[in-house]
This record gives sequence, structure tokens and C-alpha cells, in this order.
Amino acid sequence: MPARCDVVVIGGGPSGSTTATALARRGYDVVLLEKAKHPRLTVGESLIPHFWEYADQIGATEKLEAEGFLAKAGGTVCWNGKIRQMSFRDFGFTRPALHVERDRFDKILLDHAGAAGVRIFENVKAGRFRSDEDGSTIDYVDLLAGEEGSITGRFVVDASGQASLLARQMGERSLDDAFRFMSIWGYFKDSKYVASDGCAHPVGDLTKLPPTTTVVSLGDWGWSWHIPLRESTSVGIVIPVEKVRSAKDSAAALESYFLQTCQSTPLLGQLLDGADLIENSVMVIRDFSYRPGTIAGPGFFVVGDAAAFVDPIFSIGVVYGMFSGSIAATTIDQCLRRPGEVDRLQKFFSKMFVSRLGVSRSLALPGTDSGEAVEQMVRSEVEFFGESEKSLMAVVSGLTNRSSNFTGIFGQERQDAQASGKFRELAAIEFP
Amino acid sequence: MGDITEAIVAWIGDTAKQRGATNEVTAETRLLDDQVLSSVELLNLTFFIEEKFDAKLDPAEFVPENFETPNAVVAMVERSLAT
Repeated sequence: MPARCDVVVIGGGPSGSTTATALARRGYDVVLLEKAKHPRLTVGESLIPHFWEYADQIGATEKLEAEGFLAKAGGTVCWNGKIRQMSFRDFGFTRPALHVERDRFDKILLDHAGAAGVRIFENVKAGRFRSDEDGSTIDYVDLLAGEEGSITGRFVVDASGQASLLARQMGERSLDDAFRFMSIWGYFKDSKYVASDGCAHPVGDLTKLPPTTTVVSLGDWGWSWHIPLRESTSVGIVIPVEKVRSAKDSAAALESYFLQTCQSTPLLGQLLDGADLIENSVMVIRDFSYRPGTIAGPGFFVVGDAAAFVDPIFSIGVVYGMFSGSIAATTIDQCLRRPGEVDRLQKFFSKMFVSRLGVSRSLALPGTDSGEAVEQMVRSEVEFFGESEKSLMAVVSGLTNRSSNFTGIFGQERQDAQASGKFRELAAIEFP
Repeated sequence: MGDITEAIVAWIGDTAKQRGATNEVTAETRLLDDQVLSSVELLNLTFFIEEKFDAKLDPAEFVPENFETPNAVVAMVERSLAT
């Protein structure tokens, strides 16, 4: 482990790998610290096709294509009985959205970072951050050797995901009181799946007929996901935290609650009929929703989930991670070339990422009073999007009851007009 | 075309072409409506302008209105250089 470098990146998920690779390709000396050893399991398996742009920019496209991840046609949403389907092709996307096994996807990106010249140190847990005239320093613990050390760069990038290292240190990881959710998920063998023909198919059809990501509502604001992968199907539920406070917190109780919920949910229950839950595959996360604090400041940038997370309902997490990593790298490059302009340059990064996060919050977070300033920010940010992207958001915002803030800002009439003809409404999903 | 306009139109044209776009870019091309540049590319354009013309743009100017067309971008740059 070196004592110094140009940029220290904390975290080897998609955000960290993208940032590190983009900087290494510009000739910078980048060190990446990752607390686990890849490949490692993580959730967040549905990707929208927007990620290809960032893969292209860091030269990772060929490797991702070669892996042969499942292409998905689009989405099926069953919300309080209303069933709609949409396909990305109808919005001008020529490259597919994917369902990815994250251990494979993240490893490909991390290895690619290494191939680009990033020095990667796994089993190293990042600790305290400080910034002074010497540079930006991160303390770390080498978990295997049991040794402590520190590394100093000109900038530190926090890509630590839900751990939100810098936000926690600065006391800025603020939960949304109006939105305390938890998620339980697991993996099933031999589940049926919904294709864009509006029918349920046996798992064997996956090789010739792409799946849709299937979402079914739960209660007032909750929802479930059904994401077919190559060897299993990822199924998860997002529910208010209170729902499982009363149940005993044991793994067995949670697993039982999870299975019961899945089996009793319309459409989802039918898809899982005859499927088997893979042993020891059930995982839980609580309070995964929080707002952005300071995402760029003296000696640091924060990217991906480390900055903020709302809800995985529209599959944008990995894309936002790669987007923010990409603009962080561009901005850091400028900061290193024009050190007198750092404060001003960082504001470009913050403005872009915070505005984009604002749009996703308005789409996924119902009922909170965001205030005039935030509404104006979202209203303005939406105008950066082209016509087909606006149509996509218009359709997405009509699929559930989560997007009232967005609809209020965008306008119901405009939403209906832009969404018209770009989705299918079905009476039922047909089962064999 | 003025120097600034020419440089910006050329940069946008090259960037779009590198991504496989075939339509010609002019000073009036609808950059946002027609999705000629992505958000990342808009940021890259901003930094290109700053370095090329020694401009210091106000981040508050990074709004859609200033990127609707190359002419809109030029107007933003000229406002910045005038102050």
C-alpha cells in the first residue's frame, strides 16, 4: 500500500470502479480501497439501459457484453390491480436493459479498473477521513494483516455505498422520517416469469424470450420485485419498517414473513408457485433511504449510494452510481489541472448530482412536502432531458402511486400526453 | 460564425460523431430535445469552453436554457466573458 497517490477511492462497487477507471484512463495515480474480496454478493440486480453510456466512457462495454447477462425487455407493474407493461425499445433504446448477477457485474468493473492501472487493495476497510494542507487522508485497517495505516491523496472519493462513510463522519446521513422502509429479499429456483407478451413463462423459456422486471404493490406504499437471473430469480419486498418490528427479529422469523408475503401477493404468488427458495439466501436491510448532505467539499467527493438513496423501485441505483462516478472523475480532473478553481468546479458536480437525485426522489417518494426550491430544481432538471427520455419518465410516473411529487411538478396533462401510446394496459397476466 | 460559435459547434459535432451520430450539428441544433449531448457531455463541453476561452462560468448557469442550442451556449459564454 503506498503512502500517497493522486486520488483515493473508497469502495469497489460500480460507483468506485467507474470513478477510479475514468481517472486512471486520464493518467492519474489512483488507489482503490475495498473492504470485501470480490466477487462478493450484493443486491440491486435490475439495470436500465442508460448505464451503457458510462460503460462506453470507461471502455468496459466489451467485457460486460461478453459476460452474457440476461437482457430484459422492459417492466411489468401490477399496482393495486392495475397492470401495465413498458418496453425500453419504445423510447428509442437500441441497447438492452439487463438483469445482472452483481457479484459478476461488479467484479468485471473492478477488474477493468485494475486493468486500467488502478491499484486495488481488497480486504481493506476505510476509516477516518481528514483534509489539511498535506492533502486528503484516509485511515484504513488491513483486515487480513491486522495492520493500520493511512493513505493521502489530493482528493478522496467516497464510493462506500450504504455505509456512507463520509456522510456518517460528518453527521449528515439523514433518514427520511416520512419514508422509513426496510427490504427483505431472497433467491428462488424455477420461478415462472413475465415476458413482454403479457404472459407468464416457465424458467426454461428464458434463453429465448427475455424477461421483464416484474413489480407488484404491497399495501399502501410497499412493493415487491421479481428479477429473473441466469441461475435463479431475485425476489424482494420493500415494506414500512414497522411491519417487522413486532415479529421476532430472528432470521427464521424474517424468512417466514418474507415467504408468506411473497406467496400471498397477487401475481407474485402465482409466479413463485412451484418455485423453491434457495436455503440461506434471505437478506434484510433497514432504513436504506437517506438524503444527500455535502457531496463535494475540501478534498472530497461523494458518489453513488454513499451520497443518497431513495428506493430501488425504478432500477436507477447502479446507473446513478456510474453517472456520478463519471462526472466526479471529470470534475476531479479539472480540479487537479486548475487548483485555484476547486470550490467553483465542485459546485458543477454538486448541482448536477443533487438535481438528478431530486428527480429520482420525486419519482419514488410520495407525499413529502419538498418545498418550492426543490420543486424548482426538479422542474428545471427535467428540461435537460430529451423528448424520448421525458416520455419514459411520463410512463414510469404513471405506473405506481409513488410519483405524485413528480406528476405535480411535470403536470398531469403533460404526463398523460407524453405517455400516450407508450405502454400497454392489461386485464391480467396469462398463465399456462 | 464567430470563433466561439465555431469552436463549440465543432466540439459538439466531434463528440456526437465519436458516439456514432450522423446528423450535422449547426448553431441552431436542438441539443437537449434531440438528445445530441448527454449530461456528462454537457459538463465536458462546459469545461472545454472554460479552458479554451479562459472563461469562469457560474455553476448557477448550468441550466437547460443555456444549453438548448449551440447559440444559447455561446450567449452564456459571452455573458460570462463580459463580466
